[in-house]
Amino acid sequence: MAAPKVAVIGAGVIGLSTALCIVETCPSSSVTILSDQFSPNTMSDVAAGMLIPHTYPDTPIHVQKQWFKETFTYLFAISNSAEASEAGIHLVSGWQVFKSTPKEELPFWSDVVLGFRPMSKPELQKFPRHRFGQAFTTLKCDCPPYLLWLEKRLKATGVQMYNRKVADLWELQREYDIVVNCAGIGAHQLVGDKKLFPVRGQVLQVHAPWVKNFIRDGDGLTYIYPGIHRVTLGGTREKDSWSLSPDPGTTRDIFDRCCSLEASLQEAQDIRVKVGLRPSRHRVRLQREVLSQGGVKLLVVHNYGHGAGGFSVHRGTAKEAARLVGECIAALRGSSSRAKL
Amino acid sequence: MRVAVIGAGVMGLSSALCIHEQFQGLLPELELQLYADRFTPHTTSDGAAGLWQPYLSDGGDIRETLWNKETFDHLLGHLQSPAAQEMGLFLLSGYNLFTERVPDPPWKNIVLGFRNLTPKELELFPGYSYGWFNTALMLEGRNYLPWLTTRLTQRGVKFFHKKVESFQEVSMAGVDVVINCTGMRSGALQPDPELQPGRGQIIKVQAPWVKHFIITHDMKSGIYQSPYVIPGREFTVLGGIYQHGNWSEENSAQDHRTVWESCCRLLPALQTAKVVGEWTGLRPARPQVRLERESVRQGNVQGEVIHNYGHGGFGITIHWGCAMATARLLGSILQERRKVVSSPQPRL
Repeated sequence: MAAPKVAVIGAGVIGLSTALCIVETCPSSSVTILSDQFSPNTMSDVAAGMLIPHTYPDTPIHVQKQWFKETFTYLFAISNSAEASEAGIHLVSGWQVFKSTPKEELPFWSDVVLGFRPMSKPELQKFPRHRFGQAFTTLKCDCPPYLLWLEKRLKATGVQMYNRKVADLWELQREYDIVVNCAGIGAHQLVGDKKLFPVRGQVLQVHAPWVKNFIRDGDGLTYIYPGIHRVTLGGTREKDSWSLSPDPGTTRDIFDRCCSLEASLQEAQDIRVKVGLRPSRHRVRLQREVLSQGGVKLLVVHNYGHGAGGFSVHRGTAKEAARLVGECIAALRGSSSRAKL
Repeated sequence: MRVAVIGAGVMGLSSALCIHEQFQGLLPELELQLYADRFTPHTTSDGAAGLWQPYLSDGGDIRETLWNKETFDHLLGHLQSPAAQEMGLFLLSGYNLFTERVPDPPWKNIVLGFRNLTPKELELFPGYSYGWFNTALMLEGRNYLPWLTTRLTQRGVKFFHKKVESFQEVSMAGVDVVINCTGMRSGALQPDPELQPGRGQIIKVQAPWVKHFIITHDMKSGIYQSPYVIPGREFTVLGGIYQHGNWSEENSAQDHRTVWESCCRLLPALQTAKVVGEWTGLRPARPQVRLERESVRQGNVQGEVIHNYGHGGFGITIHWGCAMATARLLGSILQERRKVVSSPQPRL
């Protein structure tokens, strides 16, 4: 059989990292990326890219932990290498603070991040409204740099990327053997997944280079994440809102909440407002599917619905998706050799 | 009552401010002057990275540890104030790395969240087998010194751009107490063989992805002779030079190479960092800080001098504690001269 042709839909962090894993594990395949947006205009570009996992209610915890661990290990190695600054990967330390002690004092990922421990009393004094906190060091993937670095690595392996809006998976049936659906929030329309819903997030990206530590309220709504050039201030979690327009009242509210955690942010400059829609689902859809239409089959691998946790688990889910692509390729080979008999 | 501070580095400016804050209310006739031949941005303090961190051991001098603590606590108190930005003050976390196990430092309970490094963290730093993590403070001289200068100017302190050649020169101009904050060049005013330059050279780079300080230690070579990386607000400082007795203020190509290569080995991504400057400074090194009174007599003139110099590479770290101690010494002098009418000691 000729080199299996794989189309990856989506060029956000999931699409690009999945394509890269496919290239790494299925070297015989020919991979093409199709997307209506590329960095810096993907949803991933709005995300701060902090490696602090989101918990999916319906995915087993040990699976989520495995995905996170694989992602953390992968990025840890890059952060330690000469490519770190180009890839936009860097270590950042800080605090997660809670107004009241959480039920779960030790999250499942506490032994994956570095140096996780409860905050000391003197450290908590900086947060008079908070009673409990956790200190740790984790990684941050700055976008666009990380996405551009992934694109560069992909192009070096010969992967083609096309700006194309795919309206229906079947469009691709003639040109491709396997379709990998990394369309993120786009899957709502692309495959009609009603279990997928947006959780709107508005953020401010500001110039405040003296902020070197992250601060996150355990409620997940207020956070300060220092990136390479800008600090991301957040945020909101608006379920089922599809609006991509920044809301000025929300901007004021985010700024005030962040200033109450870090007073020096009053001096932040050059405030840029961004909006993203987290492609949310109770469990990440990471599975194979065989579509049938008029006797014709289409092999599909889905890898979408990472919600607030895309960056934290991207490499782990990309590897699993690549493994599923490998199964598809084996199935194709099996059926083509059967066809020869 | 005329008090003259000599020196406009972090010691001179902060001593002046501390004195003015403490005594101006009690002593309206206090006239405070400041003399220096170099002002910000040309002082030794301006070139320092600005990280609050004492040496690994206080050599048994508990006063120094106390002054360090007073400084840290004072700065921590300013962290949430609107002035913090203008002062160049912010929190910074980071790593101290060793090739062997070492005792905890005397300042472990002064900084925030002090702990040992985990094995996984040590994987980041091949060649180092032991280390600490803590959160400390940055106080960048290039912001702090102008901030101090503004506060002093607002309070009516008079500045004189002048190279003072002797204590007598100042006493004869009618100054009652001289505060000697001349740092490296104190020897020119009064010979002090214990004061020696600890020459340092640093490279300034753009490396905004670095969010931690990283200080390595070679216990055999001594302090600052092992690479360090300290991210400031606008640029990151790379260093690792300490040459005892070297008076040269010129940048050396060899030292540049030493710093560059050793820091790039420590953090490979620095290879892509853009160099934006280089600087050499002389740490005013002394076995102990000289912080004491002295009566200096010349003919009929008896002047009081308070020495506050010899802070080596930890000037920023210790400055406020020393400024307060200096103010206390001035308080005793004033008390003796019965200039302070009402007895309560200044709030120290």
